[in-house]
Amino acid sequence: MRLFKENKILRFLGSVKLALTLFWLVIIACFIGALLREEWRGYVFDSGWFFALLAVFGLNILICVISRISFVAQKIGSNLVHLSILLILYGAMLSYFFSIRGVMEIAEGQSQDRIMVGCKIHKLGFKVYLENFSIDWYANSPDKYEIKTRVESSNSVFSYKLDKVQEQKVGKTGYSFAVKDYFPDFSLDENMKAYNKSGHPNNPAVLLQISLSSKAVEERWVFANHPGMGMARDENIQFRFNYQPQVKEYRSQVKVIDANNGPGKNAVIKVNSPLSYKGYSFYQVDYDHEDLKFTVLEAVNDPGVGFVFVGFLILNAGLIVIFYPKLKSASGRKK
Amino acid sequence: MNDILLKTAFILYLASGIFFCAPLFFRSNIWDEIARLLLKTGFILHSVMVGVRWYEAGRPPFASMYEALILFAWAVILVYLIFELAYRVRFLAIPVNILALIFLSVALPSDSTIKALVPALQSRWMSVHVITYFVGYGALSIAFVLSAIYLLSANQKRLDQLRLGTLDEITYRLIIFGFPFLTIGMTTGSIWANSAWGSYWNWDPKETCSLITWLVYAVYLHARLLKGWKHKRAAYLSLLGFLVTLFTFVGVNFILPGLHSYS
Repeated sequence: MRLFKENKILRFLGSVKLALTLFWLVIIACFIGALLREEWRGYVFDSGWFFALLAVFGLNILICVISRISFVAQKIGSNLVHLSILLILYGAMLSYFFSIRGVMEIAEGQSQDRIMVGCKIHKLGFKVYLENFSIDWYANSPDKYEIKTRVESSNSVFSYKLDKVQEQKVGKTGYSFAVKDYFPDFSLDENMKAYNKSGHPNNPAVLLQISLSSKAVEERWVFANHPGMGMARDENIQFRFNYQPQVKEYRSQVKVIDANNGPGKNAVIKVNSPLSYKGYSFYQVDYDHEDLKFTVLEAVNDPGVGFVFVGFLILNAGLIVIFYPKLKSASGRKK
Repeated sequence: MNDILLKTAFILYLASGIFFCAPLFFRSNIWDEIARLLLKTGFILHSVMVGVRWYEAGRPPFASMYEALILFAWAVILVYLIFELAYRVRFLAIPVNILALIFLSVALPSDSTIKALVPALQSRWMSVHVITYFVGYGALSIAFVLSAIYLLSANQKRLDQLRLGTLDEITYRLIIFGFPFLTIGMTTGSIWANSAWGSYWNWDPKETCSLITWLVYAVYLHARLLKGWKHKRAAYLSLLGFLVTLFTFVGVNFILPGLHSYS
């Protein structure tokens, strides 16, 4: 401890003044990084000078903790917080330099035993077999109805994003329309009456109420998958319904086949519900939007994540230990 | 029903604000008592509204700007009620009332339709991440108003040193109350990001700005506790902290698109 008090360099490296300067430098660096476009952010967050800045910050905290370490009750919280920051920085360093992450695309009925890490192939040592990939869609109506309309007489085209029942004037053509109803799975019964067959967006259609000079002209069904199918009484105005179904959830039912480990492991991987196996975590990150039989998983082996999460726990505990007594001590005094 | 509950709560807050101003014209404590009763009744209805929307949506109601502003107003009043109970700082009621009315005035005319959640948002971490953040934001927004009052009063010499000292002290207590909530919000968000995207930190603009917010308040606490920064200098830091908070909450969504674009 005496060494830290007597040595000028160590005293400076562990000083509050340096800590405050480093705080501002990190704030400025982060602010610049946040303003940059995604492809340029690496110039800040992956740069040597940013690592150096964080390293000096870590050193400052380390010297500060060692030089002022004290086991009195009032200092426990502060020690915990500073040690947790060191643990988080250490974990982040491990994650950055030693984590392995790569994407794997698998079709139903096929397996994959490797991932692409940058330009290199990385073998996992086991296979991930995709038994089934499925998507659930929201059955409810879209947030906004994207309607395109063309008026033949004026040769004009308009695009709108509408809420339901919101009446929309079509330029200065005299026409107006509103979305009266929406069926995700339009069908006709034996009496040729329109009904909604299911909650799945198999045949999305909107019922439009069309008016001309404020007089109702007709009601027309417009189909997203069959643009020309709607029965039009007034052919001067044509509509197109662009429907983007909203995904509720997508999941991959997989089986891990490991030659060295018996019958393997069955699991369902979803967003927010990864599969962990032999140090790897498999995340559901995407799927093939054209061919819904392909899943896209990301395999991650991150040796730093545990340190970071333990650091988070200690950080929160430390802050409560520091501030709760300060809040409590003044309770009831102020008037 | 939701709409009626929220509008009634808004009217009660508004009426409470009017009664808070009554002592300027009439000398009686009764106005103050009525104002507080209206504020508390408004808060109960506001809480019921949040609960009903949660039930109707089948998910935590924090997924759109409309819902976020309602939660923000709710959190501000919640923090006030905790502080009133703990420190009897009744003078906070007026700035808190104004803040809640501002947030609700922006929320009420905006799109209130219940939005479906994208898969990444369907997580049990959502409730703890958002609620802790907003309780933190609530405390820091009141601290911001007090800092602004402090600086205006100090510059125009409208308040004596004792009252300025009280303002400074309560601002500090609000920040030490809000900072741990901000930390829980940030760290749970990071854990959630790891389970959704396989990475606990992506340097996404919203994440980066939330880190900047945290760092600014960390500077405030270090400067105050270790360098003795109080009064004006501390008030300026509190102002800066909340401006960054506001930018993180609203500005990033419009200016800097990223992984949090839906929020």
